Amino acid sequence: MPHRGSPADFSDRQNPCGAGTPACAPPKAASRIAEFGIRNAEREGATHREQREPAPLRRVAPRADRSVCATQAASVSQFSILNSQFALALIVVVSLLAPATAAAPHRIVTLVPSAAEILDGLGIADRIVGVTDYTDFPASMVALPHVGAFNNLNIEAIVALSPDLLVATTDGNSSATLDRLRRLGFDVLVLDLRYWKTTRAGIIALGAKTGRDAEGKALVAEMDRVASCIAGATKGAKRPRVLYAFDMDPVIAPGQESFTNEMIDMAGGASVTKGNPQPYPRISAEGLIALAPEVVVVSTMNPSKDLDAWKAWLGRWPAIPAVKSGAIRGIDSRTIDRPSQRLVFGLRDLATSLHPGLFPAGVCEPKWRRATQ
Amino acid sequence: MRRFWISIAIAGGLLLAASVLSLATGAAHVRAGDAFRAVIDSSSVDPTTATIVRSIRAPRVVTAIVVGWALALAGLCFQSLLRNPLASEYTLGVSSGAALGAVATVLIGVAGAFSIPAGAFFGAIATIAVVLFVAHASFSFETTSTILAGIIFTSLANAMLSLMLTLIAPDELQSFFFWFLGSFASAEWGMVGPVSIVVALLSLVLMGHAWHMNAISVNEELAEQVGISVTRSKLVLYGVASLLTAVVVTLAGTIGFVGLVVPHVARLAVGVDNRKLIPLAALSGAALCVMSDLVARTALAPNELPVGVVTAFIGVPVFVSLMRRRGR
Repeated sequence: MPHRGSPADFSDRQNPCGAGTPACAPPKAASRIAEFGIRNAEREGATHREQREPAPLRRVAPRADRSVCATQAASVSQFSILNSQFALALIVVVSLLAPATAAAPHRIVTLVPSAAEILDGLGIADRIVGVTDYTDFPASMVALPHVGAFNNLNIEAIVALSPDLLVATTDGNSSATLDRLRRLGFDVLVLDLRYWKTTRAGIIALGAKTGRDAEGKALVAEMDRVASCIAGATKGAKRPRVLYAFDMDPVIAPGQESFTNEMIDMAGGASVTKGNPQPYPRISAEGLIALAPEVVVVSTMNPSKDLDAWKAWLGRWPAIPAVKSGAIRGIDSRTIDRPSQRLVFGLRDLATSLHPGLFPAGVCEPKWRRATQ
Repeated sequence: MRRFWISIAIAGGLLLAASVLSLATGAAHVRAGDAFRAVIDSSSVDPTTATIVRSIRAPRVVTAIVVGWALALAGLCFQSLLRNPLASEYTLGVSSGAALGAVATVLIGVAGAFSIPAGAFFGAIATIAVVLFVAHASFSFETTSTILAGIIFTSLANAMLSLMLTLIAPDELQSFFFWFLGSFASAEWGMVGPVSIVVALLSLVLMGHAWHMNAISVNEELAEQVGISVTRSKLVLYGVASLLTAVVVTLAGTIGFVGLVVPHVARLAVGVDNRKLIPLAALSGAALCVMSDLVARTALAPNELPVGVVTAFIGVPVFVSLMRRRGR
C-alpha cells in the first residue's frame, strides 16, 4: 500500500491544506503531515497577499486558512475511517491543529521591558520567546534571547525568533522600525503606556489580544483599588511641593503633563516641574532653589547607595526646604519608571514618601507580592 | 595600467568577500549554505531564513555598497574641484545640513517615511548652495575659502542640532544618533532601489567628466585653454557631488570619513588620474562601508554600533599605513 505521507505528496501545492490529509497515515507521520499542511497553506496564503518582501513569513498566513484546513482535514478523515487506527490519527491531528487555530499568540517578543511585566501579570510570561535589554522582570526573562535595546531593535534577531506577536509602545520604540516589522508580516501590538489611564487600557488590550481578558481586567481592578484607596487616604491632606528626579548633576525631572507628574498628583503631591514645557527638563542649582521643593524624591535602582550621595549633593543648598527638613527620599525606579500593573507599588511608595504618617503597613497595600507580581 | 587593474582587483575582491560574509553572518544564526541557497531560491530554505537573508541582510549589503560608492565619489569630486585634500561632503557641511534637514522635519512634526528623507535631501542641497554662495560672495569662490565656509556652516548646523537635542524627548535620541553617525539598519529594497539607479546615473556623468576633473584639479586657466568650459563643468560637478551626498544621506544618515579618506587611499594606489580614480574610489568606498557595517552589526550583536564609528576605526589604520609606506 502506498504511503500517503510520502515526500511526493508533500510537494502538492494545489491543495491548500497540503498533501495527504492524513487519513491512513500512522500517528507519527500524521503529525508531520499536519504540520506540513499548515506550512504549505501559509505559503499559499502569503503568495496571494501584496507583500513587498520577497519571502513571506511563516506567521503571515491568515488564521482563516488554518481553520479551513482543520475542517477539511477532519472531514476528509471522517470519510475514510476504516479502523480505530484512523480515529487515533484524527485525534492527533486535531490536537496538533488546535493550538494553531486558537487566536491567542504563543510566541511573543516584547520590545520594551514593561510589556514583559504585563504579560507576567497576565500569567503568560512563559509565552515570551525574546526580550529587549534591561528586561529583568520577571527574573526568568534574563535568560531569554535578546533582540537589542528598545530604542535600537535588531530586526534580524526578531525575525529569527519567528514570533507571532510583537508588543511595543508608542513612545519607546521607533515608529519607523515598527512599520518595517509590520511590512515583514508581523503582528505588532502597540500599547500607549504614557499615562496611568492609558496603561490601564494597554493592559486590557494586551489581555484581550492574548486571550487573557479576565486576567487583564483583574490587574486593572487592583490598580484602581489601590489608586482610589490612596486618593481617599490623602484627601484633605496638604499637598507637598515635590521635586521628582531621575538623575542628579544635572537634575533631570519630569516635565509637561507626564506620567510621573500624574503619579505624583495621584499620590497626593504637587510636582514642581509639572507644566514645564520640556519633556525632561534639566534643573540648575539655582532653579532648584527657586522651585523650593518641600520633598525631593529620587528614583534609583539602588536607593540605599544613591540616596546618601544625593543627600550630600543637595546638602550644599540648605535654602531648599526639603534639604532643611531632610525630606530627601529614594524610590525604586523599577516600580515607578516602568509602566505596568506594578505601578501600584510605585504609587504606594510615592504616597508613603510624600505622606509618611498616612501609610502605615497594611494601608492601601497592593495585594500582590512584590517579588512575584 | 597594470597597477590600476591590480588595485581594482583588490578593491573588488574585498568588496565581494565582505558582501558574501555579510550575507552569511548576523545576529541570527543562519548556516552559510542556507544563506546562499536563500539568495538563489527563497523556497529552498525555511521562510524565516529567507526573510532574514533576502529582506534584511541583502538590502543592507546593497545599501552599504551604494552609500560607500556614492560617498567616495562625492569626496573625490569635491577634492578635485577644490584642489584641497581636506575637502569632503563632511567638511563642506553637506552631511550636517542633511542631518539638520531630517531632524527639523521630525521636530516640526511632519515626520514620515518620505518626508524625513526629503528633509535630508533638501538640507544637503540647501547647504552646498549656501556654502558656495557665501564662499563666492565674501571670498573668491575658491578652495580654502569654500572649505572655511563649509566648516563654519558645519559648526552652525551642529549647534542647531544640539539645540534641537535639548528640546526633544530622550526616546527620540536614537534617531539623532542615526543622523549623526549613520546606520544601515533601516535598509529596505523600496528605498535602495531607486537610489541606486540615481547613483549609477550620476556615476556615469562623473565618469564622462573625468578628464575635465583632471584639468580643473591642475589649473582652471589651463583647463580653459585646452577647450573646457570650466564654469559649466564645475557647475555639473558640484551638482553631481551634492546630489550623490544628498541621496545617500537619506538612506543611511551621515557617515563620515569615507568621502575624506577613500579618495586619498585610491590616489596613493593609482595616482591622480580621475579616469582611474573614479572606479577605484567607488569600489573601495563600497568595500569599506560593507566591512564597516559587518563589524557594526556583529561586534556587539544583537546591539548595533553606529557605522560611522566603525568606518573611522577601520579607515584610519589603513590610511596611516598607506601614508607611511608612501613616505618611505
